[in-house]
Amino acid sequence: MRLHIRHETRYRLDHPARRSVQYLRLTPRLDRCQQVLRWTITGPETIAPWTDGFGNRVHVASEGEAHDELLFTVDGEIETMDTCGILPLDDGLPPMMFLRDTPRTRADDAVIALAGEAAGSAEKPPVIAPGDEVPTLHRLMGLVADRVTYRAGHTDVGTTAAEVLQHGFGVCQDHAHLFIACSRALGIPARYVSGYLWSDHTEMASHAWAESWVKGLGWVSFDPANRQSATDAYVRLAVGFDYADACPVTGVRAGGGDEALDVSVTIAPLSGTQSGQQ
Amino acid sequence: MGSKRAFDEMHGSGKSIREPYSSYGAWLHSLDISELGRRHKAADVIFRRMGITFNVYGDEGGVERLIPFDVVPRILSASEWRTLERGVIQRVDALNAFLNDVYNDQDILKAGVVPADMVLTNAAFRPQMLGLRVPQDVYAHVSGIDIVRVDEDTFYVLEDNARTPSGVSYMLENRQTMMRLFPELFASNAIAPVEHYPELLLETLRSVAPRGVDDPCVVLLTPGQYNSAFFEHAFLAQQMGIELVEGQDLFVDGGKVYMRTTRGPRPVHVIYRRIDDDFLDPLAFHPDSMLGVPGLLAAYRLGNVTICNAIGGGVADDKAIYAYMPDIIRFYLGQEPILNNVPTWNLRRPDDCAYVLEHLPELVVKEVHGSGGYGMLVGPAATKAEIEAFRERIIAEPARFIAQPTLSLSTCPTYVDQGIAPRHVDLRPFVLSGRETRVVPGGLTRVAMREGSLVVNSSQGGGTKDTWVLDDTPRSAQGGRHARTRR
Amino acid sequence: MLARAADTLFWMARYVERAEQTARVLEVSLRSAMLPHSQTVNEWEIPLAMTGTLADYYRCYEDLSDGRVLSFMILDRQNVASIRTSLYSARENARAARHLLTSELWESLNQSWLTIADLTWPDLTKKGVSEHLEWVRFRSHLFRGALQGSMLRSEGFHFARLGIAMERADNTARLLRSRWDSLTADQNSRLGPDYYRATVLLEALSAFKAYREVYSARLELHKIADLLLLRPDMPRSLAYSVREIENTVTDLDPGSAVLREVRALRHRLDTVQVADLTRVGLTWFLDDMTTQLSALSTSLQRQFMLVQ
Repeated sequence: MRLHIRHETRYRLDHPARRSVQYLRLTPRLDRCQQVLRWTITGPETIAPWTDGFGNRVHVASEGEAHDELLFTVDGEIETMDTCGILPLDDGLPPMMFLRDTPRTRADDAVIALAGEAAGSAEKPPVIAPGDEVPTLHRLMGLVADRVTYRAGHTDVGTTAAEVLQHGFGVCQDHAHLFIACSRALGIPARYVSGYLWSDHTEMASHAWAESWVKGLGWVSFDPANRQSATDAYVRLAVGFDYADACPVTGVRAGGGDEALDVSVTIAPLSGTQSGQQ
Repeated sequence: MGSKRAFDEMHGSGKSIREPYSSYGAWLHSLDISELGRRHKAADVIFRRMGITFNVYGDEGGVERLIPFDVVPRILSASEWRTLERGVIQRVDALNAFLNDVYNDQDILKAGVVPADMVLTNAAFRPQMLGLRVPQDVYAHVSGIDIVRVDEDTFYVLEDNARTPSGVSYMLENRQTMMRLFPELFASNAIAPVEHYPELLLETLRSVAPRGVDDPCVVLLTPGQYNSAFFEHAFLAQQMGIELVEGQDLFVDGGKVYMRTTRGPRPVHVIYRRIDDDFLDPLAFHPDSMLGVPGLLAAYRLGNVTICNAIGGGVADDKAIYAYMPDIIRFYLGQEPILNNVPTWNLRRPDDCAYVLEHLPELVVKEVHGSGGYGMLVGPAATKAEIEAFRERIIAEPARFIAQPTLSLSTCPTYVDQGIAPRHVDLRPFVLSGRETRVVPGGLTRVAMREGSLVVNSSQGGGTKDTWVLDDTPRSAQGGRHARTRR
Repeated sequence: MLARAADTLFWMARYVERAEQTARVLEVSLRSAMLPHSQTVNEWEIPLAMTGTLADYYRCYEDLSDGRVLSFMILDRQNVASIRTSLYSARENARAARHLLTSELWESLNQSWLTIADLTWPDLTKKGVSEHLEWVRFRSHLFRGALQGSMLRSEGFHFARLGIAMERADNTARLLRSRWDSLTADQNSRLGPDYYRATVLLEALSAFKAYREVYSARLELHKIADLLLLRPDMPRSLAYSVREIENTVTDLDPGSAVLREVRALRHRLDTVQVADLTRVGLTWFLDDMTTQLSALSTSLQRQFMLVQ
């Protein structure tokens, strides 16, 4: 599918900041399932592209003059392909690395119990029957979606998987964190993916989901918020252990006081889309 | 410690004086003990007046303490040093090869020589480093290798420090102080110099500048004047003639690092950092840290700046990886290790764990990620309650710990209140890796000032000594010295 | 050099100079209080008012007494203007920049601090308050001597020099401002100033001998003001300090934009006449000078020492 994406991020500051620096993970990864046709990022004074250790394509943007507004604009076109939600190991990231827990994805007893429920295992730690990984992960996706109702405004970027499960509300990144925590608790490496999702019926345009690594298959995507694996409606921006490694915009500034954030994303399929060209 | 008396650097296992101490021993014998006490006090005055201190957090931004300095040197013969030197250089070369490998090809993990999960799921393994080629393939530019001796011929490596080892300023100040206090000893003994360390360090740092930078600007990045090692940071910056910067002095623009000077921004190419990975870049690591430089990781991965030591070196000096060092040396260098590891039980292995839990009163148990003598159980010195409390911690998370036999660390004569008495010592040589790997003769000898204590860390009341490596290259002016030793 | 390092050296020197100046101010008070005339202004409020710590003082104490004020201004840890705090700040700045200092300079400051770090009021009275104030002055002389005699004439030296000159200019203006009323209060007609008070002031500024040498006459208010404000050869005068600022900035950067500001100020001091000033009110002029100096200090810091 050929998609046109326009993404504006605007911070309005209470008073001028003296200086600010941002990392922008707003450029699609070089993955098999997608090919960038055209992509531009505009923003502050200087912007330099680099690649982080996860292979995410990042820009470092700095503003050295006093400013009371920051605006980043992404405009691009991308060709996506449906890979049945499965990606090979081409990115060179050792899967075992993604067994590591992080503050946001640390499993408590309730999280481990949820993982056990998906695996149909009462043991501690839960065990998966040989060859049952993919069905277990699909059950897990359903369980996470059942237990955590999509509701915005109840969580923030620091909310942990354990808290999400406890409260039962969250947004896509919370679903992803909980799924990742459970997958890792089952001994299955899992990682966080941030990106875009095109849909003609939901508001979710900036999106996050998870991937688990299944031996012999590759990285299998799970999007609990939508109870599905990734399709050609998904655009992959960044991967990491959790939100912190993959978040689209992160920055610090000197001064500026409080900020008001304004984000707008529009995604539209382009006519003349031909799938499977590449 | 057991009942057997420890090996003494001066007297060996008996009463007679060992060869390296023959000249010094004669001198000491002829000296009135009160004279030694007088010079010991003089040393204290020098250190306090110069402000050679380390900081302990307290009111007024930190209390400054002196690290006890002992006036009796630790002496190594030229041949002893040659072995140690080859051994630590071999070790550091292997550490660097290991780091280069785990952040790039991971051959050692594929070969199964080091368990992959031990590296990949280790918090000290930094994915931020994956696929980054660093200048000269060097990660640990400054390493401190902690060595202990148990008898005439046996030295063990106790620990590798590949992150930001400190203490080298004491090595240098101790020598200066000794030269002021005992000029006569330096005239009559051929002692290998250490004063060129800052020069070598600067050369090392310049040799790893980003490609294409002919005259690199090198800076030392400190957490600031309330850091416990601030004296050392200031000292080294002064000795090398480079700027001592804090995070707020640096900024990243267009993927390059600059420092704010009185004449505007100036490009920075090599950062000798003395702050931990977690604090280097708030956008990549600890988000609340004010110590670092936002955007630094970008500049680093773009190859516009070299960070020394490299990010992620902690995975090589991890105490669990330590157990594999002999295999790591064999794997990369095809050589047998020159210096031995202390036999180590890895508590993540159930057999080892069971053995250790049964023998806690005899063993030293350390946390894999701990440092500075914290989070450590010294079995023979611990109370029953302490042992039981530690047992609980081990059972809860065995993989966090390793255990080693309690070594009978060598002792060295030390000036204490009662006169001269043996105290346990270790040795930390500082190894520099850039275009080549080098080490100045000796290092920092740390001494446990309390009788019988084996804990030499300064945070736990340890002191330091000057470390002499005797130069055995013939010098015509040494006639007097030989005449005296034959007495 | 690093902008922050320049700032550190600038403030190190300012704090040493401030400690010295506070010692001088207290000496004036100590000796004025012994003079027979009682004043409309309470003598012991003057040093507090001058350093802007009057309110802080009354938060700690109910009444004014010489011992309390002296203790507050010399030893108090909470008082930002006490000599102890100034020397502490000087030494902390020196410690942060000690790699830029010669060992003589560092050791002189470190030693000063170590000597007073644990000093108590009983220690002080045993030693003698005057003796202690004199000691503070001499430690400052030693600091300047070590600075002049051992530091390379590079930027670091010039920023320390700049700090001394800025602080001295500011303090001389403030000191004269705080004393001017008491010098003139007893002056019914044109009889001249209160002789003893004028002597005390000049002596505290090491200017009594200079006065005799320059004017070889009885004490006159105009001449005192001329000496302390406008004489370019009197090392604690405003004119001298501003010239020193001008020279230092020129040494740092002859093309600096701040230089215009400094020159304007120096030109004003070159051309003004004391008689004209007193006609419209010297205190007005001194207040204006304090404002100008503060603006200048801000410009200097923005130009050379801004970190973020």
